[in-house]
Amino acid sequence: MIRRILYFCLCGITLAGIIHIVIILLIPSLGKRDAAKQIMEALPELQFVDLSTVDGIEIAAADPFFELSACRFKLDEAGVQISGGKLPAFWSAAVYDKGGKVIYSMNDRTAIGNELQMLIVNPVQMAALRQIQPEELETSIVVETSAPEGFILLRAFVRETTQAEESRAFLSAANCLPYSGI
Amino acid sequence: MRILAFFLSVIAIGLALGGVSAHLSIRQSHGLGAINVGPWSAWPFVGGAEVDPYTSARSAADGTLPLGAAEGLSFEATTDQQGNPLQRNCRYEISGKTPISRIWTVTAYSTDGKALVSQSGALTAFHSGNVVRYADSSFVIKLDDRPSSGNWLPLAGEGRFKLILRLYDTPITSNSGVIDPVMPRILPKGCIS
Repeated sequence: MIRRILYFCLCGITLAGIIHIVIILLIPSLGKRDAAKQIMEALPELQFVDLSTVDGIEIAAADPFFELSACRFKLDEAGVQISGGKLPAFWSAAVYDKGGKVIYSMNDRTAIGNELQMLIVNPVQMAALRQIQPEELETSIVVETSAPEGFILLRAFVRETTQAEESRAFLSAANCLPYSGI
Repeated sequence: MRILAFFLSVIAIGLALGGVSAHLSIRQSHGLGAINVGPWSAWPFVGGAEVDPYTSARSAADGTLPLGAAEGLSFEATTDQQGNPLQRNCRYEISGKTPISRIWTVTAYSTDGKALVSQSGALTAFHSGNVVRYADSSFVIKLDDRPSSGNWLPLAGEGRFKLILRLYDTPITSNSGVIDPVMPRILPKGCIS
């Protein structure tokens, strides 16, 4: 009898363990609220879009003092060149893979000359860049990733509502273009 | 018949235990991969490439986008200093100092991640530039249903809520690791019955 109960418990716990692992691993691919997935589905390619204007994108617990803008990219044909102006207030940028993991992040102080200048390339394009040594290498932050696609998210701090316009102008002036240098 | 009953009950137990344990491991604020300071929890590795499956499941289920290490670190609190859940019909004081950062923001959200808005339409949030401080740079933010002087964050309605304190451009996410950051305390000041 005791052996039977032990056997029963062992089976139950083993199955519980398997189900636990399966649920944890499946949540990122099945979750409906996944913000990265919404961005990958709703945004056009190679264009910065103000996230508050897009239907179907809802980033939970977003910071109300920040304006967000994102650009979706693919690296199969060419690298991506991100460029933009300056903003006196704090801003930051993060490159995510399509699953929402951060590949690279920076803020205005870690940017070269406080300006948004970034090249996102895959390893093959990186090798080509090293051979050509274009001048962008000196003025841009080069992000090498093996992720085939993803998005870059710009966050601009809005200190007072009166400064929202300035932050929005900074975001809408940012460019996200295929890199033609290689 | 007995074998069938055995199988069915094993499956039922497996589903229940597996489901509940998966839910708890990503829902509990003091979950896996977190660093905890009083009621505050942060997931410093949520933005990294080597993120563990629990942290990645958590941010996918939450619908949040993690901050990269160079952007900042966010701390979440769902309870007060004594471990009781934060309730919208109670009063609290957030007091103390934050770790070093260029700017920080503190915002009250509903449990599903929408920023709370008071009846007058005011945002229930503060940032390091608009909070009134004492001479030693510490501050007190009052979460209260009644208007109050100083830093007042209006609370209204019922149900649980959470606070998120974000530190932007902070050295505590750098390579030296996150070593016991000093966080403000969330003191309960009674409830409206």
